[in-house]
Amino acid sequence: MSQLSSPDKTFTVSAGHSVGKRQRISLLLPVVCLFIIMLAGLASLALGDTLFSWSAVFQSLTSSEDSMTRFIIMELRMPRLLTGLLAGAALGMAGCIVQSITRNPLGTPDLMGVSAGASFAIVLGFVVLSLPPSAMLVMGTAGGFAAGFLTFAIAWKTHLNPIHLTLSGMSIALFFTAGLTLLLVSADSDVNGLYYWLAGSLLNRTWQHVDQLWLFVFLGLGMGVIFSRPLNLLMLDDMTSRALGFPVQRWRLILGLTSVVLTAATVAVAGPISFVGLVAPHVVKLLLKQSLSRSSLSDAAESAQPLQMDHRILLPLSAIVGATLVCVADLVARIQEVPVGILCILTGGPLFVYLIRKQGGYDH
Amino acid sequence: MSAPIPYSQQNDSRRHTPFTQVSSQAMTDNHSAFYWPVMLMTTFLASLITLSSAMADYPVTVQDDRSKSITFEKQPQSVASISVFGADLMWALDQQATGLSTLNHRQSAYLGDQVSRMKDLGEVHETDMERLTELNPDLIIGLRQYTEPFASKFEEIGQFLAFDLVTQEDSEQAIMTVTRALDQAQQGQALNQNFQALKEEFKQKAPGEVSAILIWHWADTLYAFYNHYLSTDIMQSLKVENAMGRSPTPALKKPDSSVLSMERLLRLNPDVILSFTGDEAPISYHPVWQRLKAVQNKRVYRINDQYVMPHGPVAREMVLREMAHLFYPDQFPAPDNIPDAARAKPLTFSER
Repeated sequence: MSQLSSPDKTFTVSAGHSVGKRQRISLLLPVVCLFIIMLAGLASLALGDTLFSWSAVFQSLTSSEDSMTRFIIMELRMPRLLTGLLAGAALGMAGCIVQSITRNPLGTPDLMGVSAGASFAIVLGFVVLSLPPSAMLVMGTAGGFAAGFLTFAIAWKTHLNPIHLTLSGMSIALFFTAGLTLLLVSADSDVNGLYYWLAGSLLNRTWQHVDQLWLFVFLGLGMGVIFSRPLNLLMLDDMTSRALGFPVQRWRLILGLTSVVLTAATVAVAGPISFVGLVAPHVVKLLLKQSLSRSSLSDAAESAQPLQMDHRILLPLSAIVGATLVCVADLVARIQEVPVGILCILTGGPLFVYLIRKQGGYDH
Repeated sequence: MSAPIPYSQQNDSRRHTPFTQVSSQAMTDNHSAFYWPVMLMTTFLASLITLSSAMADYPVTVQDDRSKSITFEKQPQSVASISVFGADLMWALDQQATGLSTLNHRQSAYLGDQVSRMKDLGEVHETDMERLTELNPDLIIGLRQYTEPFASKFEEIGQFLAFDLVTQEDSEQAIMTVTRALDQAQQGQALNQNFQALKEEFKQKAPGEVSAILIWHWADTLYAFYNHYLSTDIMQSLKVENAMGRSPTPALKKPDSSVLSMERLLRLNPDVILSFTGDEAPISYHPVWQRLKAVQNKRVYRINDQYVMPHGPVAREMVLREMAHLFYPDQFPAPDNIPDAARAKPLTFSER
């Protein structure tokens, strides 16, 4: 037993009991999310222009016969589902990383200029260079990396100070957005499809897109999980971290590049679905706070290492919530083939507002 | 540079000739005892029509698709077209627009050589006002969707008529409005009547039992036109089922097309696919293509501007004749009055 003091009152809790509850709480959310993903995923495979029964879906997943049903489920719906899951996971984690390295709760992958850079490069490739759709990944990744590189290069002189990094990223994002606008106004008159893509879309995605995306996403997710401890330390004041001998600038660069990798590859394949990067980490934090307030864990016990601030938990959960959000949004989006980026806002937005109103926010 | 060949004098015996050619054709084919008296009578009547045109009852007031009344104090002598429709109609009337806008930064190939004699007025949605002002046209013809915010600017330059141009009714109304403004209403009426007659003639001859879809794309996003769009309406008049079907909001002209997923295309599986935009087959890497009847039977065609801007008298007739040939090659021969650059070409999808 240990005694913990707070300015107001004294709590007595069991350390072992506390760790157990923390683990249960941090396990509950991913389990719930994975359950939702599984249901939404199965629904995504069953629903579409042609409706399939659950048994047809399971048969397609387990057999290798060359039927039209299996072709639709495995060649058309499955890659779309996987692209959405990978994109959502990547953007959720990238958003969490950006919010942490810039210490900005409004941070999104857009804040590094990566989404704008990737979008600009892709539209440039189509409108000016008349490249085929297969060049999207190369152009998007190159544009995203170029924008990320410029953001970090500009802020380098100030040791990647969070404020300077934010301002630098915003400037680069605005620069590429201006270029994108210029391309849009000078583009052909048939730009409906271009706007459709810019709203974020999973329409007509194939295994080719999954192949292009999965390596980048797993690499980024792996880096995020491995580097979650340094990310915790980046939440401290820079002066304090440096006094402790922590190489702030190096880790901010490494983690920033991780978010660049995740975002650039995703935008190249699914278009800019930026809202996921903003909302997923906040949903995780709000849900964790809600879970904690319902449990018998004391504020004082949590104040030592707030669960919603621990990136070892926050990063994977943000990825899972991001994947869930995109998966559910795409399930709705495919009814009328609305861009999934819009549906992410329409489905994730109300949830976000509900949580904020219920919780009254949380301390960053 | 050779002089432009008036549309009515184009050499295509199968083409249902517009109004201007109807009377002379009938007479030269019948060298009877009545030939010369009829010729003299015709010449006299033509002189009367010309005289009455010169003395037409101006001012003439017409209403465009903005529901705006425009009054012409005298017959417009020069016409600038900031949509293909205007240039097309002028060609059908054996005249020529002084300026023409582009689509996707290209002049419409179906209009042939004459476009090289027209001033390039910039892309259809962003007219070069300076060049338009230099032309000083009496009449400007444009599309409402692209010109609405700048209508007052156009009106400062010349009389301005703006049209919606989605359905066949739009096409007919626009032709009547412009020809009334030009004091050529009879010709306009004849163009519409002839086209309707031609559609009926083709309908009688068409065997039917074919399905098709008219698509366009940007990157990997495909769109398909609904039933009410003029090109798909022509398709249906040939007893071809438009696989995309009718709009979910039939009371509204827009949208005239909608996003099409490859899964839906697979379910629709039309016999013929007509694809607009781009040299390359749209998202050719997609596995669905190889499962489509149209691809297996090599009945996917890249089509040209006239299919997405079919509202002029020349374009809609070309679309009708070419579609008839593409759908029923045994019954309808390939039309020979379409410039090579504007002809439909087969698209190939290699397996990857």
